[in-house]
Amino acid sequence: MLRAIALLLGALLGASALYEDQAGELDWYRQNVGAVLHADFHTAQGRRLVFVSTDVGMVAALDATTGETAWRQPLPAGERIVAQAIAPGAGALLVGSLAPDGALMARRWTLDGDLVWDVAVLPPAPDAPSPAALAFVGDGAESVVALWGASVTLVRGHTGERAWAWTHEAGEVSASWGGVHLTADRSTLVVYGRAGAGRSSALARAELAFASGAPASEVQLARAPSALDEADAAVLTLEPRFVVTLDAARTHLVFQADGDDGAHGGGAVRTSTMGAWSHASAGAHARILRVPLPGAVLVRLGEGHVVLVDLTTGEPHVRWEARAAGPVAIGSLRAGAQAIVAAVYAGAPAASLEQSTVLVTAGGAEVLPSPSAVPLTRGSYGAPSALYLGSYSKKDGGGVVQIAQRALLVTADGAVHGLADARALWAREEALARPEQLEFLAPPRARETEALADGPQYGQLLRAATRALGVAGGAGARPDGASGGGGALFADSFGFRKLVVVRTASSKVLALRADDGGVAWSALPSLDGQPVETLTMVVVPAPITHLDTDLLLVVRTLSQPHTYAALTYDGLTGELRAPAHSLPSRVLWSAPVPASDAALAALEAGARAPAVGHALVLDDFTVALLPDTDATARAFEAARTSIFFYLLDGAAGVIRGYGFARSQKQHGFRAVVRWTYILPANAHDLSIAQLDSAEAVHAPVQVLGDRGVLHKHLNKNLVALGYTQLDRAAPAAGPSVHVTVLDGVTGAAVHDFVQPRAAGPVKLALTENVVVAHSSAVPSGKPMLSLIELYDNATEPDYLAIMFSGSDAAALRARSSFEPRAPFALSTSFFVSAEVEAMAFTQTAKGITPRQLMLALHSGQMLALDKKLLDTRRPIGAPSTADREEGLMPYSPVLGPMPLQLYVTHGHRVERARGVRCAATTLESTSIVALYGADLFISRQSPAKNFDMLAPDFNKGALALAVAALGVGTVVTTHLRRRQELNRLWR
Amino acid sequence: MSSRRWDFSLATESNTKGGRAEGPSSSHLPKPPGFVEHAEALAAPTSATLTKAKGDVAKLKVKKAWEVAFSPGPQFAMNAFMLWMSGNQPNIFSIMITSYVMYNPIKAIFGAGQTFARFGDGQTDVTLQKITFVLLNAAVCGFGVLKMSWLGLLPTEPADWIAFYSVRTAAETATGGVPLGQ
Repeated sequence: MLRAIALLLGALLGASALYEDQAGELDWYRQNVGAVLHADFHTAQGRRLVFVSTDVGMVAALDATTGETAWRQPLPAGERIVAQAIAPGAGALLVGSLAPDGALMARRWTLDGDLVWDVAVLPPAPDAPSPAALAFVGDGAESVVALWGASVTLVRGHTGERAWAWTHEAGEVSASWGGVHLTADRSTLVVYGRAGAGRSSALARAELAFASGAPASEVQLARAPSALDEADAAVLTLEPRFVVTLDAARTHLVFQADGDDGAHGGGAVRTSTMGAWSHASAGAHARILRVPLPGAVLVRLGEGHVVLVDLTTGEPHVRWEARAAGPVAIGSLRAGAQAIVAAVYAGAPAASLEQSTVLVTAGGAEVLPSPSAVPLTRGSYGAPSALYLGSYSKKDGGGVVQIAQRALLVTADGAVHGLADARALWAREEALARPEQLEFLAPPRARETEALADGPQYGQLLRAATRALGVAGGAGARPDGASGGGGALFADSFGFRKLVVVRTASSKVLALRADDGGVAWSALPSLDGQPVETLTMVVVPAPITHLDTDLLLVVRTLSQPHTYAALTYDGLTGELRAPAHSLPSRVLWSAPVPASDAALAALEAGARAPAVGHALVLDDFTVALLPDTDATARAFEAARTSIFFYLLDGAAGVIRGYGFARSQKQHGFRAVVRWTYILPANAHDLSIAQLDSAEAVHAPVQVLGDRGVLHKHLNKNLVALGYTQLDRAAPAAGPSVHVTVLDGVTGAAVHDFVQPRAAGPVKLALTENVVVAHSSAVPSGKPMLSLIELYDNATEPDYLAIMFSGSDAAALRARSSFEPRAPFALSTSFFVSAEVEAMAFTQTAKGITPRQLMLALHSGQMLALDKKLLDTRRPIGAPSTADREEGLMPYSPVLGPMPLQLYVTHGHRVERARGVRCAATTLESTSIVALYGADLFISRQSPAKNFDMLAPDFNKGALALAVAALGVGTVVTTHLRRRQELNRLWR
Repeated sequence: MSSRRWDFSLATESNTKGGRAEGPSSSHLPKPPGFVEHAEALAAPTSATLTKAKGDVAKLKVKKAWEVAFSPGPQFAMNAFMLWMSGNQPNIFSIMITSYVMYNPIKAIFGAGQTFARFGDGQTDVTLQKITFVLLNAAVCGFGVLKMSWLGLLPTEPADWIAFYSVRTAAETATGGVPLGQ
């Protein structure tokens, strides 16, 4: 009876189950935190954690031993983290960030990642300086002090309630506070900083009643002998306390001692010439490192030169100096009340890190024996840029407890490394948190397996045999996971195996495997060892399917004057194809030069692949050919009349189209203006989009319910421009969003769509003859999708001729953009329930499968919308018979709510989503979709289900059994039939 | 050794020349009562009687031929009812019924000569009946074609020719360069 009741209850309760792609079968998700700006170590419940806040607005806790993310909390988009403090005893983490509206947001988190409170500190002045400091004061993190310009704000540590705020208002000598100190009797809060500007600069000190914030006395100003540096706030050292800053020229250290009893310890403001300490010259690059040390400061003078300046002896003198060959990163930690260990890691990029450790006490500084160099063997990370230290106790061989350190190292590419005991424990490719561009690379097809792998059934057999035999290098071979990968990577029969190449904001290029997210290779480009900025990354498709795809990077050095160069990488291995090709200027446009038939034949015959020809348009509109050979020039000459490009000048509101002409120089070509399209003067929020050149289109017509057709306006060179325009003559009408569709070859305006009462920024996506634009309604702010479908007023072909010849002769000719066409457009708009950050249409091998529009939502999820939902011909009112026949749904102004199954990210969130990319696979049903932002999500999408592939749960055993049973039945019945026939003949 | 135990044969010596009849000869059996061996000799018909009889047969043949010629009519009524019942949605039943309705008339048209061969004695002209038969079957077939059209099975609309449409490649390429002025 009880069982029956339990079963009944079970049946009544809702069932929940995982989708298979949620289990990671078809998708993967990579969560990043970004490059670390602030870090604090703490061990809680036996787990060593490092609490970080990053450049992409994340607050996270990382496992210091493994590098795994313990928890992560994103701040609202647009906030920039400026401060972090930790109170381990109180289990509190404090993070300050500047919000887009100018407020300083202070948030207190528990060490488990739960938000306790947040409070907004208003700017002290409209033009308040951006540096701000947050500090816990008092026992148990009872209070939080926010120093921001001339204002001091005290917040209750447990409730987040603002207790009081005080601003030093003294006209031109307004202070900028940089340090805070609570006196031992907890009655007075002493704040330090500088005040004034120019010749009237002074070191400032104020005493405020801790309870009320009332000034206990006048602000004490100690005039400095020269103007002070206004870029950075003053630094307050630990006991013995000094207020330290630099002069405006950054050649002198300016400091003043401060008493311990709360009274102004005063002394005169002293200066010291930094040039006298070191061979390195002080100057514009000089900075005081904000490392709390007792009576000392660390000053970075120039490249590789860091000095530890002891201020306690009356006259500052250098206790220790690091002259590393490479860049230097500094970290510090407090071990006890007085002992401070400062460590410097320096070394050549991507090789090893030399460590130098200094023990700083109130009495002086002592250089400790340096451990061996920390090797960095994975990837190319660049120079160290920041270091954060954490201490822990450990016993040496003799059982003596020693203070050891673990460190968090941030390298120039943004990667975060966990170090301990001179060992690199782990590394996180946090450069991926700031992707600029994402491209799919298809591996080459292996010659020996291509014929077999063409059919999926053979491909499966081949894979199974390869697995069984353990043969490497076959259809299933892949790199070993190390940077630069060793094994060859070949395409699989389904085309699922691809490389996802990401160019990051730090100019690093990473290639991830699309099937599991592992890093296949990574590269941080450089020129003669100098760091560079990657301006553009172009995928150069292999001219034949057996060769690797190349990546062309155009880079420039960071230092002035810039040096430009083109670097060509093997896209599959990450190896540099050839030495850097120096360029005289930046590159405005680039494209591969089509290979000649003879070159293709030679490649097919097995000739070694030469560097793929490439044409680059430089700043002066001359063309640089790579390689600059007769063959490349001939190939470009043969194709130049059919190659065009366009440049959008957003500031001038102009888009210009260019063609190519010969110049007098040998192998010389130059770009010439073919057309100009001038946008309205008051157009703003410009965006531009073009069709994916690799997009496959199957049907040139749209079949209607009455079995008529609409001829799609198919043009690979369509360019969509989106912008917002406010009609100055009728401002009450509000802004409107315009989408102008141009032909990129001729500059002809194909269509101009206007969405009234809407505003940008306009996000665009194109496919076939469809343009989708996302904007926001005015004044409601509701997100909208506008849909434009372009069709041709084409005449019907001669059906009898088609019937007898088997094809439409007109369709066999290439279509020129210069042919006259008469397109017309159908358009409509829908409200959508969520703001869209980016969107793209799915791509399939032949373009037969209906497309889906993949929307990257502001919420971090990806929504798949069937194209049938986005149809301009959805009828208003009851659909007709033809509409029903076509499957047109009645028009509804609002799309949504959408079924949960359409949210392909399921439980994942891609923070700071900024782009969607889709790529076709060999299977017509399946498209690979990537959503990227601070995180990365990749999945397979089948808009019309897997009609060309067996479902994963297909019962192959039952199929085999059925086939075997049929075979047995055939044999048995054949035997019985023969026997019956023999008997009949004998009768 | 033969497995045959016994047999009985009606064969006579005259029609079994050397046959296998082994019993006594049947020619010695007496004639049945009332049997006349040469009946035609008892009442020889006159020529007028013969002419009249032939005329009746010809009329009968023509009448029968017209019946055959109009036979598709009643069949069509039944088929039309079936077509109406099957509806205008293309499904397996409607397609099967339409095929059946079209197959039989076509078969009948091609077999028209054989159908009317029994009336072809060289004196009875059934050409008109044949034409009528073919026309009526063609009409039925035409109705089947019309039904196919209603079902959407005939390539009468542009959408039926999309297999022959192909996407034209672009003669030129235009791609975007780096954004300027930003």
